[in-house]
Amino acid sequence: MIESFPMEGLTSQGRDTIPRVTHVSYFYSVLEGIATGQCFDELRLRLRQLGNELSRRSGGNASTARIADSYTFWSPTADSISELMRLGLVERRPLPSKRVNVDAHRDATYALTLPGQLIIEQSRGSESLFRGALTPLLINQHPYLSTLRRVLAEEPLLIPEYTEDELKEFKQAGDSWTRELGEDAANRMKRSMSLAKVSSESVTTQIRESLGRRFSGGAEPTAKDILDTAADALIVATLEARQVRYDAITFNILMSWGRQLFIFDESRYVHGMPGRTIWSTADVEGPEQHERVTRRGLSRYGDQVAQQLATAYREIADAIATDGGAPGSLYPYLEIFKVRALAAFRLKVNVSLVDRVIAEIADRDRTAPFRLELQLGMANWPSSEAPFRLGSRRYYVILIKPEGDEL
Amino acid sequence: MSDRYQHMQEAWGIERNPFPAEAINQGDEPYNPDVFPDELQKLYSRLIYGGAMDRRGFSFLWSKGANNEDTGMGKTAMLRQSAKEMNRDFGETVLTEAGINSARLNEHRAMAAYASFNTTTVTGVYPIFFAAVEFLADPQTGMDGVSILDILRDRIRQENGIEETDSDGLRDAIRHARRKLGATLPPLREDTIDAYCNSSPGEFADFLAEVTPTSRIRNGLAYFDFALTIAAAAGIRHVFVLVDQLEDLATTQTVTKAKRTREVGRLRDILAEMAPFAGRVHAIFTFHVRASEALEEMWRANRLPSYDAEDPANENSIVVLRGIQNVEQVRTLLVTYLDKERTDGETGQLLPFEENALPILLERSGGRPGILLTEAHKLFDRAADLERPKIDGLFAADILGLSGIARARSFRKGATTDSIDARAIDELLK
Repeated sequence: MIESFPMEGLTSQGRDTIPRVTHVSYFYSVLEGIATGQCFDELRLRLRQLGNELSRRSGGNASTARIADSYTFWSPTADSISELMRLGLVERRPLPSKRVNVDAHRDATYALTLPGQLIIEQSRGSESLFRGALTPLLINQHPYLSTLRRVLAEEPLLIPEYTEDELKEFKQAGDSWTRELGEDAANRMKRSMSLAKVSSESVTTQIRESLGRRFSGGAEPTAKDILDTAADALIVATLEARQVRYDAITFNILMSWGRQLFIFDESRYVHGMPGRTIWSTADVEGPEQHERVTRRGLSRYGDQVAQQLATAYREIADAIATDGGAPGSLYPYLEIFKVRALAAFRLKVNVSLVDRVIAEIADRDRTAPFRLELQLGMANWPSSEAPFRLGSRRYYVILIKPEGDEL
Repeated sequence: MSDRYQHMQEAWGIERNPFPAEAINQGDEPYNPDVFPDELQKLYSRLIYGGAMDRRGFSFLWSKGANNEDTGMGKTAMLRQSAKEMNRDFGETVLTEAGINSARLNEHRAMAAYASFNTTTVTGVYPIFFAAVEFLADPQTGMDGVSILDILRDRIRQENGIEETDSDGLRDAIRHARRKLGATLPPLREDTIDAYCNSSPGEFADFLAEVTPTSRIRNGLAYFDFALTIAAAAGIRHVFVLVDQLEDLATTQTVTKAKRTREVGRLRDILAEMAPFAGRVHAIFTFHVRASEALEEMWRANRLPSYDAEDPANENSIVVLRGIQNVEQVRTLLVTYLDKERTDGETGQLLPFEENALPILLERSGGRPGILLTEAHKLFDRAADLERPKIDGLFAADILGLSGIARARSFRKGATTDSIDARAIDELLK
């Protein structure tokens, strides 16, 4: 079961409460259920089914309940309804705050407000239209989200990330591995974010404090526990470098929303960016509470993406060719996730938009001044990167070559 | 229902299903050079003629399918056919068609051996050279039931005026050729010379069959050295080794990475540096994307010649098979197989196939001849079971699960990317 407790924090814009609901689809599903008169328990079962479906679709990466009983998914259900109330889409009424209270709420039904009815009508059964309508509401309601959007609009974020082996190397390199780590992370941030206000000391302090809070005296954490704690600390340190203060879990939920709303995107494989790179993919204009969100879409950016794909491919291929001592292939097969990440980052568009352009070129629905080949290859596809599919098939590697004679 | 074979014979005039049930070339399938005329011509002119003239040790036959599949593209069939064509007259036809000056032909006589890596017995470079010798010694892969090495023996005797009973004379001719190859070369294996000089046609293959697996691994190159010397004694300068399934060398999990890297290094030593092989032995490797990825690291570490199929600088050392592109090629391929089993001999007819079944086969196979033939096998079998007079497009679509190019294309596009994301792009990111 997904445990869900609202997290509170402070930004320059004030306190905020971000529900522990990572899937925007939950909001849509619950709102649809309420519109058809479903009670709390029916909404809970509805989300449970959706959770399983999302997990299956993501190849098991999405969270699913470990124990299936009559309480499974009660917490995300309550959180989702609560968020819809906060957004003004559902009439306020009490919700279960603890597991023991769930039985008293099983038959409770909820009512849509006028804006709630309007958003259902406008969505016309399309979840993506719902996402479009939900975006300004979430931005207006959540200062944490609007702050993150503003920060990303100024400049992308770079969160340094490390492996267990790298931490081991830091431990072998000097007296204090946390200082070594803090120094390296701060340098990465400074190299990749011109607006970062960060020092080795501040990052080191953040790491040490996080480790101290998580592991009290006598604890014997595993290497993975230490890595996870350090990773969370580096998220907080990166946000602080950009004058944003909240915890790693909140940040990750907001990132998840941002990706599903197509206003942010991220990749750990942007060439030249040493860590988890996050960028804005939409422009938000207009006065407060009346913002208009303009996503960078296919009609405006399609041709640029096609052009950028070739540039990104060449840049990565050239880097590989000069790295390794012996000449490499002139037109190697590169992992699709690397090429598309660089193209998406350069143009500040969503990765899925780049996928669409690749698919259009491969299907010859879009002309491009190059030949593009997709192959299975033998690449290991990292779980953090969405798979690339064309039709019912997955592809892992790509080759881009200017039009010309074939061998 | 009557007997399916009776229907094949009575309705179609065909003895049995002429198409293979599996997309794996066994070596005895019919081959029609008109299916891939351009590619075959490039293979002869670039990889064989060019390889011989440039003394190139490494050449590559790539496959890249229209739908990005890279197996079943006909590489093996083309290599086997090339070996057959080369050995038929020791390169005369192939090199002449490729453009060699007739005055220079005798200096560049050539022969070829096909050998394939696998994941069990042929996992290293020495075993692959042993497998090449086996090919040359096998009467089934020779000409008219006589092995290439047996033909070479006759040729040595003929050119040196040696009687058939004079094994010492044959031995002297081989040793003389060995000295001409290099005065300081190590001596040939005595047991091999004895077996070759004292055997009748077919017996040398029996001798090789007795060689233990361990000896093949340790001494495979020595056996190949012997075959190369025999070729030289018979006036054949170039030996082409057509190497299939090279990726098995890189991906066999039972072989350590260090050993695999060493084996790739051996290729360089033998083909580019070591006498008497360098300049006389020319390897043509089959390649596809997965093989290239598996071998990239080891290849670069040993500084071997680039196999990049897209680099214009490699144009002369690479040929790319891109599969069957049009219905004409489908027709040629099917007729080649059908004619082989016609009770009345070759007719050049498509019967029982109708023209409108050909696009279905092309689409369903993705242009891969191996897959296309197995799909043809299915259709042929099913139509015989149902006693159909013909195999038309509707029947083919029904059996193979497609109804032509239009449906195949929409099926492919219909499922593009995750459905919610796909809608979101249409509705939010348009």
